[in-house]
Amino acid sequence: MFYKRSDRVKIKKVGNNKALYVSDQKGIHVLNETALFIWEVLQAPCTFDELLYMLSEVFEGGTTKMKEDLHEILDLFQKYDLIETET
Amino acid sequence: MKSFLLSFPRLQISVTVPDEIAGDIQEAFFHSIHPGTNLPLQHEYVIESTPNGLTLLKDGQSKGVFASWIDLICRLEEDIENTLIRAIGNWVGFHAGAVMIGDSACVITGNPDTGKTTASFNLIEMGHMFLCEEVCPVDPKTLLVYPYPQVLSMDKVYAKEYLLSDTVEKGELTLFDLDMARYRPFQAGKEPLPLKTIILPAYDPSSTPGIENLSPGDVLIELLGYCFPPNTGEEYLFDSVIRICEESEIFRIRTNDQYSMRQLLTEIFS
Repeated sequence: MFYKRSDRVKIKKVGNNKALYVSDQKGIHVLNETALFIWEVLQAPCTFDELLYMLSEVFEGGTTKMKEDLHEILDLFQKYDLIETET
Repeated sequence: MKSFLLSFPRLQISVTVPDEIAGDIQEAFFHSIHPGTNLPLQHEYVIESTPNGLTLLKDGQSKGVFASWIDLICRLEEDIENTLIRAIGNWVGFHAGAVMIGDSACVITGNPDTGKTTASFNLIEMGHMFLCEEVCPVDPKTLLVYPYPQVLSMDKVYAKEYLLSDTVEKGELTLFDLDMARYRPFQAGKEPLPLKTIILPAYDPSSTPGIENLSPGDVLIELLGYCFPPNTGEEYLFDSVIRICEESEIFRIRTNDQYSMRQLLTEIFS
């Protein structure tokens, strides 16, 4: 399964941060450092394992915790329609 | 009967009242009464004295009957606030107070009971000019804050405690039978001022007092929660508040009593 960005997402610069906004939904989402990294990587569709590999290349930490964090961020991205999946 | 013309940002109204409460209305809206305004009126309020109490009419429609003038004034203030929020159009309406610091505006916003009004009250008593209470209209294009200087409604317990240790010099503080005190500053700014500072008070008796400098990314979502529902689309509001965040210095002040509040405000603005 591949994760990819939703076409409806707009990116807003907020000071040194970035926020994502889906045009037909209420709410805007300011990204933390990890979420922003994943969002940047998702310029091209990626699998979970590819994302995990790239995350582990840049961030320090144990694999178990990194997997949990990645799951959590992808779940939130999906919940707010920021990303889609395709098989 | 006596009529008052009240002028607010992008909103002009008239209030016609029986002579016996004309003085109370004049005090409540002291800084917004502009007898010479030639701008067209958007709404007409009339207060009538009836055997059941005081009736409030807006454009001929009843908004309620009230046993006391203070109940009526509170309802009238609330209705004017709601009308103003619609009238400001594409400006951002913060649920906030504001004061003038130097030659710019400081907006004080936050959740209920965090110390917004007491922060405004303290800043005014420290000698800063009063600008806004409850609604703070900001033009996101020019970043000007427009005055909406209504009477400050405060917690009576706080007001009593304050009076035990301090004197009130820059306004009139009145304690009411309900758990309410009202503070009317003697002076208020009349011109829009550029926004420079946003203060987010956080009152917690168990916390250690301190100041936290916040970045736009830290505070955007929280600030959006302090905006009144926009008259524009959501995205316009997001862009407006992002601009406001990016162009302002933003501080959270954690206070645990009235002394720490004043000390921290002095620290920020000294």
